[in-house]
Amino acid sequence: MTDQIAVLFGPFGDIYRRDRRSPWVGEGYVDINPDDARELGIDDGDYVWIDSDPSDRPFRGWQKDRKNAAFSRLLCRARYYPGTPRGVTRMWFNMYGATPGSHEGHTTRPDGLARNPRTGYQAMFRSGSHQSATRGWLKPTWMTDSLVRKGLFGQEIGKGFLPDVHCPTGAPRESIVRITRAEPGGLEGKGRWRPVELGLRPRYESEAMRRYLAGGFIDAGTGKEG
Amino acid sequence: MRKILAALLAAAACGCGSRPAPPLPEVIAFPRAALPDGPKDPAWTPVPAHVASLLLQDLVEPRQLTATTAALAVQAVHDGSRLALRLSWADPTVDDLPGASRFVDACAVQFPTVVTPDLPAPQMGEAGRPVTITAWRASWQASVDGRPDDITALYPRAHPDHYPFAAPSLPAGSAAQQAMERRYAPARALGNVMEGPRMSAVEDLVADGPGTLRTAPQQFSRGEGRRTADGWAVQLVRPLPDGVGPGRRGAVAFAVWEGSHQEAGARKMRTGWIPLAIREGP
Amino acid sequence: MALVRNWQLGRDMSYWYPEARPTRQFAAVFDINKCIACQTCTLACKTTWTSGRGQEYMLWNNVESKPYGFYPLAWDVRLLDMLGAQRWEGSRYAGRTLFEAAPAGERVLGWRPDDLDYAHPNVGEDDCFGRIDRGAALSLPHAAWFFYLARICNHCTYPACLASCPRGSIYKRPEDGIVLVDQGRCRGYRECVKACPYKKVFFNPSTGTSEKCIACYPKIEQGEQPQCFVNCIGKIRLAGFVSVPEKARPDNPIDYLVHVRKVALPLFPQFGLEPNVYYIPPVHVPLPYLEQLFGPAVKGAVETYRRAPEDADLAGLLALFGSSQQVMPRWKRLGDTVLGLSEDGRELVRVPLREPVYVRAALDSVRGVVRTNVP
Repeated sequence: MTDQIAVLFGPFGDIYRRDRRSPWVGEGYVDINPDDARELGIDDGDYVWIDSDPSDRPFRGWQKDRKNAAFSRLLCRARYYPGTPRGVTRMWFNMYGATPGSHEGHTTRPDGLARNPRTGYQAMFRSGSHQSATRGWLKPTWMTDSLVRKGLFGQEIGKGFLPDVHCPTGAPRESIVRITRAEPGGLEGKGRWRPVELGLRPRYESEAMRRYLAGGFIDAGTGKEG
Repeated sequence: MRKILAALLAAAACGCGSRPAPPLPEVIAFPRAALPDGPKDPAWTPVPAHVASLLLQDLVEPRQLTATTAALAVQAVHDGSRLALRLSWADPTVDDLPGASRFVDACAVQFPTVVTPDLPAPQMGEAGRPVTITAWRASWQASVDGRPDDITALYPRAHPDHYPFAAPSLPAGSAAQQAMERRYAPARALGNVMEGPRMSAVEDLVADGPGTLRTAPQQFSRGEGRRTADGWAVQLVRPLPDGVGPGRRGAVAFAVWEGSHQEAGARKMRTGWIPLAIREGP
Repeated sequence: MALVRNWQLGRDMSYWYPEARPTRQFAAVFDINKCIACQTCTLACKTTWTSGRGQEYMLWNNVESKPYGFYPLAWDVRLLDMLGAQRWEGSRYAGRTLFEAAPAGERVLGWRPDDLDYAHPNVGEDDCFGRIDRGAALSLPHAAWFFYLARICNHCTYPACLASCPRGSIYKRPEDGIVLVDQGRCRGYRECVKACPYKKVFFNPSTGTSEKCIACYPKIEQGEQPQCFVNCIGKIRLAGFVSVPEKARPDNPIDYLVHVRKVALPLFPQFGLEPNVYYIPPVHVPLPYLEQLFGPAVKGAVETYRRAPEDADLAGLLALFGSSQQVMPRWKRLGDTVLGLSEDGRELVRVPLREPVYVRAALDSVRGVVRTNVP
């Protein structure tokens, strides 16, 4: 995905990355019911931690492995999403997750870009990904380099590692999670995310915005309709 | 106002320990063997200043209806053929970085192109009575001082994936690469470089009425602007205007734009015509 | 200042320059009901025109969700708030336009976006007005609703950008009404950025001039539709030329939708610019919000569109959307076939009124196997 598509991916895009915390020009986010977020003390646009069962997520033994825990704990933006019922959050599963290298880029580069300094891999998360909260299911009977299998494209028969065969298949979908506020959403961590401050977001609507939603700036003379 | 005048006089004097000269009632260009090197040259210190109160540009739309920069101090010297002006004014914010919605600090000096008994209309001249303008912009100064022609100079954390003119298939500097670059900057392709790489921090322009401003066919001015303790000081050097040589009188007008107040074009603080005297001397 | 006729307002109004309509007026119809916000249009424009330095943030074409989406932030709600509540009397606009409401010292009522207002171009994506509770079901209009509004420069008949430029650096082409910023004349004052209510002029800080959608005029000159039109996956767009109402021709696709069937409406006609991109309104959205966007004709437009399945002419013309690279100034329906035609009546494309449907048998009798649905 190039930057011009990433900037349109969700609401947090900024092609000039004016908030240094942003991993790229677009970033990962969780859709959360506004009432759920309010109860958790989370404002629209805040950064949040998303944690799951600590016995094995983000990975077994993470409590004793600080280095790898740092890159794999899920940190993302919270987005007030009226379109989900209470208790159900959702997140896209195809965003580029954080890696040790991307985390290194994010924490060492002056511009904060979450890009692996050696490979150029670009993450859309400061740390973690939705996979931090889910379990992968591997197929142990196929985990051998001697497995004969068809190639990914075409009809070639071969042996050895192939993503579609040896990687977890399917995208693990569901998990019970706990969401806690990590950082304020405002520029460089001060105050609230700008669209919230401008009164444009669900549950934060300014008077003008409420009027706008009701169609109150025009009287079309058609009486009460719709 | 008194506080501002005092501050301006102090700025004009470079705070170099000598007492500032009393302000002049008009702009007087004093004869000198050599012109100062730049706005920070101590040679400016003893030169008396005319302190002009700035007026709103409320003659043509869009009109400036809120006053911003209050006054402009003008010092002038000449060497018999060239005129050097030093304009200084208070400006707490450095606005030299253009952006999608960012405006930059600037100043300009205006002369009648031809000396006539009646002066042209002070706001950009009029049809048949053109004016000659020399403009300085803080962003042009930054470019001359070495700001790269790169989006990261304007937005430090920008990191564009790709420009078509940066494709590996186009060797850098080749004709094809430069053509591709011009394709995505039609203003530059037309030679209209309002921002971008500049050889000079000033530009000479002509106008014969509001809305007619255009680049002068000849570029004959040099200029440099530097920050002072509380604002800007800009030195402009140009030939003495035609018909306004040593011992003669003319007229001059000024304009100042405060970038943080989104001033550009007609939204400016300005003066009317101010008498200009070129002193004769040894 | 002059008095000009604005047919969308049903009255005369003030404008900075006298009325001077082009020979032909480039116009478009966008069917909002078909837009899926895939942003292919946005990227088509971007990769064609705004891939240069200083253009990174510009979206000459953008798609924003309504009601919570904006690019730049708050562009419409802010201006509506400045203008205040206005009203229509039937099809006549009884309120003030942006020209009539211009404050002292200005030619147009407008505002300057902050640099930060260009961030978050897809804010509000898919955010619905209302709530989705467990067990919610939807009927028309939807209690919880949103839709996608794809926007380009409207190449207005009375552009605010053109009126506001003190140097006359913006002009409207007499041959097709496309509005352009003269890149040789612009000095970057950005009065146009302030004045355009749709915020479709953008300042390029790398060149120091302002830039905008050019309606892909090199393509229009060759009889081809703009990039954002021909790349649209949902086939929601049709380019052409619109006439004034008394010269409307039913065999002109834009005239037919705008003037004859009145199913395509201008965006914020109350601003007074006579914009020339016309929208078929989304049928699921409550009328008060739609009337604020498109004016009082919305109710009739929604009803007409909902009857399209039984309306062969309307359905037929809608089938021509996205069917050809070429601009089709004329059209006609012949039974179950719809033709897009050139100005002089030559066939450019033909499409069926209804897509033919073929059902393939599950059993392949030749090979004796059952076909399964895998690639």
